[in-house]
Amino acid sequence: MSDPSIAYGPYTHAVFGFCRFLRENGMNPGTGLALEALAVARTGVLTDRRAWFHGLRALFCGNREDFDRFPGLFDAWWTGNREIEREKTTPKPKPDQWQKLRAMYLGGESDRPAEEEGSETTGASAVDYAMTIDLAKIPSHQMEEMEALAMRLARRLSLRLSRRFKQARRGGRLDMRRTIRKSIARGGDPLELCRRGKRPRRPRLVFFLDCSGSMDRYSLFFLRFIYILRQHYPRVDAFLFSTRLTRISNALARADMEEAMTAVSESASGWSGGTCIGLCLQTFIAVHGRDMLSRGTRVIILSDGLDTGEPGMLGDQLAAVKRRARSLIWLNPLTGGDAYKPEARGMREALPYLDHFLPGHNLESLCALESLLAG
Amino acid sequence: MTEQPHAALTRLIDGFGAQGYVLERDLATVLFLLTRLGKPLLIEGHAGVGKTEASHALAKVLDTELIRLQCYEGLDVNTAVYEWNYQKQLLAIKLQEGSDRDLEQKEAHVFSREFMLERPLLRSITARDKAPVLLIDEIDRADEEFEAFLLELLSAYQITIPELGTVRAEHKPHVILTSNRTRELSDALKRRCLYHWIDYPDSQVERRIVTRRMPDIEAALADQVVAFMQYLRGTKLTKIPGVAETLDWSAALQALGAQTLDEEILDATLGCILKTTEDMSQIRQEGITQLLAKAGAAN
Repeated sequence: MSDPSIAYGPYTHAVFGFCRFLRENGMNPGTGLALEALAVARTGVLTDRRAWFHGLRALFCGNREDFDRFPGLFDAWWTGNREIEREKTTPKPKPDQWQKLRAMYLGGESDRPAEEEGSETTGASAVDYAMTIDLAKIPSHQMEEMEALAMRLARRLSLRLSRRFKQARRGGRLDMRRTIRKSIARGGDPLELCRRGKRPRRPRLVFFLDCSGSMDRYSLFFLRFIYILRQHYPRVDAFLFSTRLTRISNALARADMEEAMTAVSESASGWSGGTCIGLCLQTFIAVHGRDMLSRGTRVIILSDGLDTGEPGMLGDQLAAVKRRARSLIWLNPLTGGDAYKPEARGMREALPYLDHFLPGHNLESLCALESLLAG
Repeated sequence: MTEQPHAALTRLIDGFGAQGYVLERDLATVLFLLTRLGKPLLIEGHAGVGKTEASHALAKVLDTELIRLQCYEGLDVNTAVYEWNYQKQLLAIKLQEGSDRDLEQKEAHVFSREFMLERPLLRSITARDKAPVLLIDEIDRADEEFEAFLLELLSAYQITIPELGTVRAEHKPHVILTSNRTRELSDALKRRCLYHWIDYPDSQVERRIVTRRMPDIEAALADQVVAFMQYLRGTKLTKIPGVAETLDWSAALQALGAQTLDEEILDATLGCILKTTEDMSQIRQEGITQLLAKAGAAN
């Protein structure tokens, strides 16, 4: 790679220029990669335009998005048509899918009037404010900021969660390696047995998110929370429900968050008003109960409990879930209002079966969830 | 050594062809660079588009050994790199009880190469004759700690064993990593690798794959199969069938002696393409007859 006689071939300049060009367009090739690009050139592919393109694409791209975007950038640089193309490819602010999805969730956000609780706050109290503000009352101009905060929080929580589960261990299988090493000193008699830490049993978390109209805003934050949780802790399943149940675990299993959110919205198309929690839980037990419900499973339901299904059904189904799961947690954003009493029929029916009943209206309640999940 | 790329690419494409793998030019170029630059290659793509298969074919073409490491959650160094053969060690300790060797010698003896079980990663760097192909399958399933360990291996191609010292690769293996993109891999790992995304093939390429794998298949049937699969991939399924499913299905159809695709045979063999009950019931609900018509029309 460091043969000086060829390191300054006529193409060197162009290659370094290309790296700069990529950087200007939002990709991130380090200097090391430029040198490697020269190495690629020296294999002889430089004379074959297609091979040169494929080679550089493999070298400079690290994910599918770059991979798909690269042809335009390559053509722009190597055909010399830079100025025109550059305008076309200047970094997009953000793929607008997410915006669209958000708009779908939140309704027309741009013309939402600034709400009374969303007055400007500065300094240290800003954090308190952000942690305690009702998620449904965030003014649109702070939405982005709050989303970022929620994600940071989720990342921290999920890391801590997965670590916590990992460390829950007590004596288990024999550790032969250490046993043998110790036994040498005693002429080969394994007197002292060393044990390997037991493989921790990682509990499964199953989330149910209410996506009926009144709950969209809260579900949105939870979706992101679950997405990030899943990145660090794979035993997570998630469902959306309204009048019917949709499993979104597969949709969430994408490396790219926006892609995942789009997939979720696609798989949940045709959401309609009304909430039949009981019916949805029944479907869940029938289809997934066998593989998802076990002594270690924690079931978390996020809903306002405004059930429109048959009376009695919700209670019966919750009892069935409760029998087969480790714990049942219900987050109800309405509880955030001080005056709230769980008087909706659905909520009253549910209460006897719940292990924990919490507010779920702000980021603080997300934090409270952590200790419950790990417990 | 300094074979011209054009000739090398042609050789690769032909070689893969002989293995029944239709290698497209872009992947051929990347594989050529993999062998020439000694950089690992990360292949991503949906399930069943031939990520794993590509490394099998590469090993055959290079006439070398394929060493495969399947990743899973909780994969640890003992399963991936090396492990001591405990039974044999215990026996050896017993056997040398009467000998007059001192403790250190005994210890050195039981912790020698003879008592070591080489797992895939170690095996890949101890190959004697020529560089093997090391396939690290579904790296996205392994934990982040393992990814970090791998990073170390892929930059220095050496492994340190406390009891033995450092083992350095005589021949750098050709490393291929695959990922289904269920989580984002670390930037550091990606920076070390060449990257390639394999998409579902278009109908022409898929048609070529089917004929390459199943030379005796009826041309009309192959056309129908490919058209149907291409149509299915555009619909909303939870598990979209890949090329592997196309091939399974073609083989099943052939085994059943089908000449053309009809309702009855499609219904009987639906399990070759759809792998979840949700998808099955969704497709059955849509109606198999309509589906066949739509797939035919779409083509």
